[in-house]
Amino acid sequence: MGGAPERLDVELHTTRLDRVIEHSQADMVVSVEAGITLEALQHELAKSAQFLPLDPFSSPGHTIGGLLATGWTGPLRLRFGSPRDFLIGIRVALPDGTLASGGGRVVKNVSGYDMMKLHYGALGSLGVIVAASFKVFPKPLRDVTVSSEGGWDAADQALTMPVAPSALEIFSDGRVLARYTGSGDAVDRVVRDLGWPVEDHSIWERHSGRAPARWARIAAPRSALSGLVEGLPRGAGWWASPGIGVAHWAIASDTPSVKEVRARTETAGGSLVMMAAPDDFMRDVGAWGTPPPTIDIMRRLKHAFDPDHVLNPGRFVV
Amino acid sequence: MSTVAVEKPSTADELARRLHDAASQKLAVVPVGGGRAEWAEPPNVSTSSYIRRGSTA
Repeated sequence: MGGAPERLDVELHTTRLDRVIEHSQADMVVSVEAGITLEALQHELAKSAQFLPLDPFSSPGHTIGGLLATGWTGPLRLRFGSPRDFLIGIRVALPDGTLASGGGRVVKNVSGYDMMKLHYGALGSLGVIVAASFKVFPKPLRDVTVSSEGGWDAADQALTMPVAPSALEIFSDGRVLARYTGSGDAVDRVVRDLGWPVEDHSIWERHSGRAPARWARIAAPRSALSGLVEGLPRGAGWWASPGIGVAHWAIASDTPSVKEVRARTETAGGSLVMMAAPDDFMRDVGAWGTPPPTIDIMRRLKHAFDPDHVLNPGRFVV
Repeated sequence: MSTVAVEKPSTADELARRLHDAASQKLAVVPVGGGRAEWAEPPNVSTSSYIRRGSTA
């Protein structure tokens, strides 16, 4: 993700920072070092029947710091939001050698500026995330996935059931996956009312493994999403989370077609961000698209945190 | 051609020191998480135009 680096002198790996610092089962909070993988953290939380509702694509192997820095999410974002919604504390190494903290290890913490949100999704361009604390969630009592071949109409049906799905994905072949979690009675009722066949839970693990070599994420107002993905080049492979207005495109076409889709997406009030591509393709298309109206503020923040522009030069929008 | 140093600190304090050392020399630092497509990972390193001649652990 991100543009090709303009310069690279030092690779600073976080992989040895892989400890669980503290897990308070009763308080339902966990603090970890940034290099721990999501799978290792989930393994630890599962011992207490808890979990972090993160299911990013291109799994397994993501580190927590990487997920925070990229802002990557997956289908569970529909129910649980993005990590910024359950991130309660962060620790960041800055170029001047200081370790800065934001938030804390308790859920209620509102003092000072919300520095956590600055680093979330900043691709390590303001500092290197070294630790994070999260609110965690209890494993649901019932977790059932059902499927349909009914395309957008089926997706709308599932999204408007009295019990909202925790995840809902639609694919370019018209298939729809809906995941319902919660109490046994509520989940059983909605699954019965929908009448769709039940899928094995492992289908989500396979879905999270998706990582096309040329891959774009399209984010758009929910009302515009179906029109945008249906307008992709003929035969394009894609999957989407219509409930949150995000689609992923496995690109099999040339760069002009990507630029054209990006232009249509931005006209609709959305964005197209390249998740992966060979360097020449990425350079031609550009990783991020049209800079946002806040670009001047972002540049000032970048200069304040990293005045010599040594962190990830060229990767992020500033 | 330039050499890329590879730093793998084991504590946050050590990481902060290494970052400060690099920044004080105005060296470009890319944080690396280890996932397949993360923040951090220089994208498509094997095909990148920049040149990696060697590394130091």
